[in-house]
Amino acid sequence: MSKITLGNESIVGSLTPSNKKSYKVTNRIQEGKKPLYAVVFNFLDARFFDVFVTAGGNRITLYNCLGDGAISALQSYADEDKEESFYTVSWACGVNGNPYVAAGGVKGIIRVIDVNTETIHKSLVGHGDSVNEIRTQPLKPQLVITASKDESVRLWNVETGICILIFAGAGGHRYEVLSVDFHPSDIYRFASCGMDTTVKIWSMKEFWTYVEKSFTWTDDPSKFPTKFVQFPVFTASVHTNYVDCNRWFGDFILSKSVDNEILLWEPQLKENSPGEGTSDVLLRYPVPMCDIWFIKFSCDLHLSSVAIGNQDGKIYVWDLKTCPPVLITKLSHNQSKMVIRQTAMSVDGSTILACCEDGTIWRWDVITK
Amino acid sequence: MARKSIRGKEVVVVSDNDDDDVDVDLDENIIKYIKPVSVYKSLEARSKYNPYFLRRSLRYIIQAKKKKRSNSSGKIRFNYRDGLQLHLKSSHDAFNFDFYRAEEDHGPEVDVSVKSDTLKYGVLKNDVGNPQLSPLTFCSKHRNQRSQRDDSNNVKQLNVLLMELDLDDLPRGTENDPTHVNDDNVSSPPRAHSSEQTSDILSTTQPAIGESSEPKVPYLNDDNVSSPPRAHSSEKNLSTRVNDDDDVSSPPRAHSLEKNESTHKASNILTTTQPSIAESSKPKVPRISRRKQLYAKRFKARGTQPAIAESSSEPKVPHVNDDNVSSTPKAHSSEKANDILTTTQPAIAESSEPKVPHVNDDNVSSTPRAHSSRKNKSTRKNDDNVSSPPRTRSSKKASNILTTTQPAIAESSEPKAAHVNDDNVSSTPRARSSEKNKSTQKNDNNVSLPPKTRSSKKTSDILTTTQPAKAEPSEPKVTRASRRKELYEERCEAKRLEGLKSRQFYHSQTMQPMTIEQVMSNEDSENETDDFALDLNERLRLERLVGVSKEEKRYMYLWNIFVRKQRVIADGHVPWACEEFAKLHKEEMKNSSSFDWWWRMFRIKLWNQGLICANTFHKCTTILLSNSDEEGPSTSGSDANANKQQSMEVDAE
Repeated sequence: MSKITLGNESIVGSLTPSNKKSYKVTNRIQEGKKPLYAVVFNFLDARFFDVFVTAGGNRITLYNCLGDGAISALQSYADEDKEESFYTVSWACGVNGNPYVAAGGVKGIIRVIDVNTETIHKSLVGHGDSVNEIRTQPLKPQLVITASKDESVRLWNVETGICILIFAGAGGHRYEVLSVDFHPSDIYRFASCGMDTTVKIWSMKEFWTYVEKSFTWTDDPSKFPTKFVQFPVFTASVHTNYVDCNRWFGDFILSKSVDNEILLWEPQLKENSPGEGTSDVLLRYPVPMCDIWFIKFSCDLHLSSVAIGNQDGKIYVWDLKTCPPVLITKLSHNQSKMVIRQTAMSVDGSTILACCEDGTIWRWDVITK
Repeated sequence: MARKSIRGKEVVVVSDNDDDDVDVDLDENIIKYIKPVSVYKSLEARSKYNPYFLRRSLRYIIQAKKKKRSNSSGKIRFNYRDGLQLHLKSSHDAFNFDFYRAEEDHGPEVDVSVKSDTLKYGVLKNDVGNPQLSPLTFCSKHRNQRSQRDDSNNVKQLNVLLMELDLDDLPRGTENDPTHVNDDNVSSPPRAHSSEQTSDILSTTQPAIGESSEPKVPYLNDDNVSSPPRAHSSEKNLSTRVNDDDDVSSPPRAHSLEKNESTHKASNILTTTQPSIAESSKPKVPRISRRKQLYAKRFKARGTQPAIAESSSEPKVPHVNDDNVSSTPKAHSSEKANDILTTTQPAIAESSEPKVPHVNDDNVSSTPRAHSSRKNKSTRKNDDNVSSPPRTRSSKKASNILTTTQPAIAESSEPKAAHVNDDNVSSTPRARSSEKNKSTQKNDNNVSLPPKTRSSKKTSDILTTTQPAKAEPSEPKVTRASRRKELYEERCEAKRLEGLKSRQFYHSQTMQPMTIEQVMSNEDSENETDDFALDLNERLRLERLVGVSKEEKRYMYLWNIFVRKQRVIADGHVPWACEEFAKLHKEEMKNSSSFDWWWRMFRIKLWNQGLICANTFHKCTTILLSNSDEEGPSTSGSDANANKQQSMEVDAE
């Protein structure tokens, strides 16, 4: 476990918005009655930077953000099991560049949908409980990792439908894993966080041969020699409660718990000594009224700002490039009162989407002066 | 063919020229036993290739028995055997059953080979008479000639030897066998006693086998009970054996009894106090024993370390022998754990038997075993007389299977011991030098492997077949009940399999859906078998250690994977392991002084623990120096080592 170094106080951001940028509501869509848990822009394929997907109930829907605030629905998929409730969705790619959408929910099955052919490409079975988050490796978009309530994180190859690695065991999470994220430049590394209040950094460098093998596996996927990775390279106890969202910020990590703030901290790993290391909290971004779990934030492609919703239906947009932290703006609408489960920022940060507990999607566009 | 009346029962005796060298009295007794034995053996061999054969044979037995009662004119008393025999001959004429006497003091033996005419000869000769008096096998001059021809045959004979019943220990068959009038002569307590023991052995050694065994298994116990022939008790063996068969008439009952008994025996065998029992409790189970036969073959080939194999569920047995270290373990590593278990038990039993010839062989690898076997040897004779239990009752399948496999194994080792190790008998001391044992063992292995395997299998087949045959006539009621039970069990088994096939199974760890082939295969998919993954996990595990230097971790990693791959599991393996490790990593030791340092530190620790002697320590050092390019550092190292060695020697003194 890591220690928090003494003497370095973290800097707390001020809640006074600078209003460097302003946004206004340009659209609002009501997508059924079920809560929407996820909304994600496509950052993989430049052709589809304006396309986003939402997940809620037993439905996955693709939309296109058009100019002037317009949103057009492109496709919608519904699981035939009405009991399914999708919690997370992510964009992926086939080996030929065709876009996939990977969605998972309470049933624990990950559906990989080929949006070009509008069919299910693979159904990934293996998780023992609900899937809380799916993230794609931007450097190799056929690889996705999934965080599950069964305390494990699994690495999948969505092209071949193989479960390559399972990150669980003696050193793994001891409670539900709520969020995972790949490192932006280190292809072997990712971070996971969960209800056991820890943030763990894992490396699959030693097992990379199995990853490569998964691309050329021709036999039955279930016969693939799935390996267990039981020990992370680093475990941080930065938070004291459920950690429900973590994102890499270069070599730093942005993570939030249910204590009304997002932390930016640096994991200092010890070379060749897994298990040892320190975590150094650098900055704190307060987010009022954000103390229920399963609220996720999002950043734009270049990590210049972060947008997070709260229980009151408001959105806080923080500037990531400033120290001390500066609140860019706070977005609120008198009709937006429901919990905002997840936000999505477009590639340049000009559009912010929010999906709410009542099934609505709010679209905020930046006001260009 | 002549018709005789023995104790009021009609028996048909077929005279045979090959029996010239057998006493007339023995002949009579032998007649009673050869038939079941031969039938058993043929059945066993047959069932090896066809798992359903035993089941069918039992049906023949039952049918024949019924027929027998209804039509007794002009037929051999035990026409159930004829039924089997006819079946065998008609559909499978691969067996040749030779009866011979391997050694004077061992009594007749049966050799199973491939021609069918011999079988006929053997079967017809027999009748169920007084089970307890004659040994199971007999020696024919035909056989003697053959036995001098080549060692492999001898080995075969040796294999068979073990299948025989123990003398007085098998007083069974009294209640089951209507034909043997001498039941009162046979002491039932001994039989019960021995069968118990046998079953004990059986149950402990091969639980898995037992479950899948056929209804015929029960009589296997009987076979097992019959210990290898011994000088004076050969007759008894035969008779007791026969009795056992008779007692086993009803499969269900036999099953349960055998199981109980075998459990007993197994434990006994483990303690090596009752060699006789152990011996007899190893009939080979034809059906299940395909795997086990492979193992038996391996075991015989190796001829050593039954004891060692016992504890491990993996084919690690060869380790004791230097020669075997690299080749045999690997060769046999493919064999299943069950095999090892099965063979180990008999091995243990064997070593504990008072069979002089093979005692040394069995004890080759384990010196303590030598001691125990010696002890056992002396007590064995007595035990044999006492211990052969009336297996007849043991009806549990598990025990049956155990019994069947074990005798086969026992047989194989014994004949080998007798013939191959004649030289060794005197030369291999009971001493501790494992090397000596190893060398003899090696020879044994080389010689005995192929024949042993074959013959043991056959003998076990025969044994299994003969056992039930014997049991049947004596207890018709039990047979019917057991048959019903057997059918019921079969139906349940079939239902279970059907249910399994309709389900979708998921792997317990990866939770991926599994195909039916994966599910029904016997492969254990929960253990990590991939070397690369095991090495990797070991390295990661060591990397997680805190407070250990990188070089030490490197050394620990190399040593640990070496030990795992080479299966260094016993204290006796360590000197060999040190030398091999030194040879393997010579380059790294020369290039990295820290690696050499840790290697030396480790060797000192080993020496401290008494695992290696100063001699080995010195050898390891000289290995490094032998092809060394750098004379300077190595010589200084060697000086240091030499000094150390001297000091250690002083300490040792």
